[in-house]
Amino acid sequence: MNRKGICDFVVSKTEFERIQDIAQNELTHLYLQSQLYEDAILNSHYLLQENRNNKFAELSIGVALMQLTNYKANNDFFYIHKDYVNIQGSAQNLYFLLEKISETELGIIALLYNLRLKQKYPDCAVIDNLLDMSFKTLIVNIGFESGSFSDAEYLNSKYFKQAVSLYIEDENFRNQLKKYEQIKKEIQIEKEELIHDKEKRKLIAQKNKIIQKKGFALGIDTIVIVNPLCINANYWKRDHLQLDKADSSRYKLIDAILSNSEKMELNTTLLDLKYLKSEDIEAFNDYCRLSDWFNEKSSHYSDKYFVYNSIYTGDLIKKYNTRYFAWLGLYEEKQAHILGNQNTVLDFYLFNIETGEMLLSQREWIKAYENEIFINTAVKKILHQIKNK
Amino acid sequence: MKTRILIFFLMLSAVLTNAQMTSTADAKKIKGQKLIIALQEYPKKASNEDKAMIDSANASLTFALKKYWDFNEVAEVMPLSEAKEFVKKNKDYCYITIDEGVSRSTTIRDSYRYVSYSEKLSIYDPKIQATVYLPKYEGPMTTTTTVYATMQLNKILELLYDEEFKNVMGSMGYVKKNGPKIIKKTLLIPKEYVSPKLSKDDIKLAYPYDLDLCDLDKIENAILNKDSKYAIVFYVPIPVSGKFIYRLYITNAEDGDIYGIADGSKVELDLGIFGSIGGQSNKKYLINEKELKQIGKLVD
Repeated sequence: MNRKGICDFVVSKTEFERIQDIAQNELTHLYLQSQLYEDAILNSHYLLQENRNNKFAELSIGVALMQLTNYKANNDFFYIHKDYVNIQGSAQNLYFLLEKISETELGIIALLYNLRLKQKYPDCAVIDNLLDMSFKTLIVNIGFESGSFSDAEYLNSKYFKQAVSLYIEDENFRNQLKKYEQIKKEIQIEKEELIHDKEKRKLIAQKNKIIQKKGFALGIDTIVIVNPLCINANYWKRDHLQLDKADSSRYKLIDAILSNSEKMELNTTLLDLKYLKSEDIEAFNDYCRLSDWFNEKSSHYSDKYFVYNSIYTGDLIKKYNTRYFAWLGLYEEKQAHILGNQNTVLDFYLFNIETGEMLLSQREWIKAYENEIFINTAVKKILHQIKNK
Repeated sequence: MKTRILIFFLMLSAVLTNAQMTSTADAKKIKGQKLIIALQEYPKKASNEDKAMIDSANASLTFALKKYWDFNEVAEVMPLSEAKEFVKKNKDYCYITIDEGVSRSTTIRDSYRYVSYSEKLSIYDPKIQATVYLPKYEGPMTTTTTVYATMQLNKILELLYDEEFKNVMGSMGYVKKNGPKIIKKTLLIPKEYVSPKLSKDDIKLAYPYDLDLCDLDKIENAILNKDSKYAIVFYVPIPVSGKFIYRLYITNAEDGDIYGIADGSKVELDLGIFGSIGGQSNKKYLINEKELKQIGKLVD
């Protein structure tokens, strides 16, 4: 209580500081998830000023630098970057630097930072993964070569000088660079071979034609389907969104998933918010983390980018005994003014949440409205591709 | 029979798009000449809007030619009427300008059933020597579409000069050989072109190499930066028989080298007194299943 007799804290001071700490760390997480990497670096920097051993903040900077390099390398940087002119205060310096810096130099900064993290936390698997991606981005995506260490172009760069001294002193660093240079060479040779080898290209095309006809054969036994979404829009009605009909379609969809999975002996877990009870807090938390993962994956500008939330999926994979998680949505519409213009679309996405790889992306489409047979057939077709070896 | 006639016209139009009947001799002649950038002039009753459009087109042309043209020396910039007179008197000069390609579907008694227009970049000497149509999207020409056409014309003339093919009619073999080179690049396709009925798997299976469905901004940046990492898909409407044929051009963003040509959506072809062939012009998207397969086949 202060001198005027007013409480400074509604809860205790310690409890307030605990919640404040969680909120500050959570903010970094939200920034990383929304591709606001510069903000994530700044927030982590403030967190590190309070506690120099905040591993999460250090890790977040490593992730943000690596993602920024990747976005620069793929020429998508301006989608995630705000113009420094519109930024006020000391943050402007960071925005200015990141806008002007070359992709190679940023790649070297990301690599050096993650190497330093590796020295500090030698047993952390997440940092190993980050380091691996930093090397890959610099050498394979940007095309940097260790031979460039003698280039005068970079000699004024402070970070580049650090990398040069590391290159001279550390044999392990040299070997790592060579390893990724070899990977880059192999990719280039493979592409070059494909350009000149008509037979090889034909084989790829033939294989894809077979998949187009017969579908994929992924040979997966266990999947988790996360909260199927149904939307029913009837533009003949005043209230376009038909919530009751969407609900009934949702039950039909879930029914089709479960019955077909059983028939195919595909072990399917449904993580559905509608079936959760008050005691299912853990399942709800799992759903939130998976939603974060999916939201981040779908908000990246290309499938190439690393999904930062993959770092936290290890225990989910253990718990559900699979790394394959699926999201699906059913959209039914009946348009006004055009007789017979009806559509039902089923979208299905299957991911490996550890690597972020999209294994299946199917869009089933029919010119019909509320068609139960179509839903069942489409679900059957998709699940068959997952189970089939 | 109708299909055969359609294929013949499509092939002819594909070839006509690029520099028309320009031959090696024409390229060598242009190489030895100096180039004048001929700017469009205001018509007598031009509104402010028209004037702004003409100014913008002239600025784009000057920028593109000064920065992206190296086939021959760019000597001067002058208004179109002056350029015409100057070239007539000086045989060492030719001029380049943005003009309109017009196609009319004639019917009996000199009346036209349909007329179609498209912007093109042409070199005159004072007769037309070479031409390419500009890609088009979302309204009038932009700096990027002018740069794209400039780079393409520059490359075609270079290839003719180096005798990679003798005339544009004979360039299809060269383009076909070029197709597999796309594998080395990331293919950029504007996502607005692609039908939403196609899933990512459909696209991946039709074109199994590096591909990025992106915004037009990224494609524009790739063209303006001459980015060697990318091959790009752009559509070029060609006026034929009073209507348009939409062709998808797959080119190297670095130098405008053509890697392949695919159809856009099918459009009806009017053959005047012979009636019309083709159809299905009501397609909303330029890249549907058929067009996607064509792009995939370019690398097969």
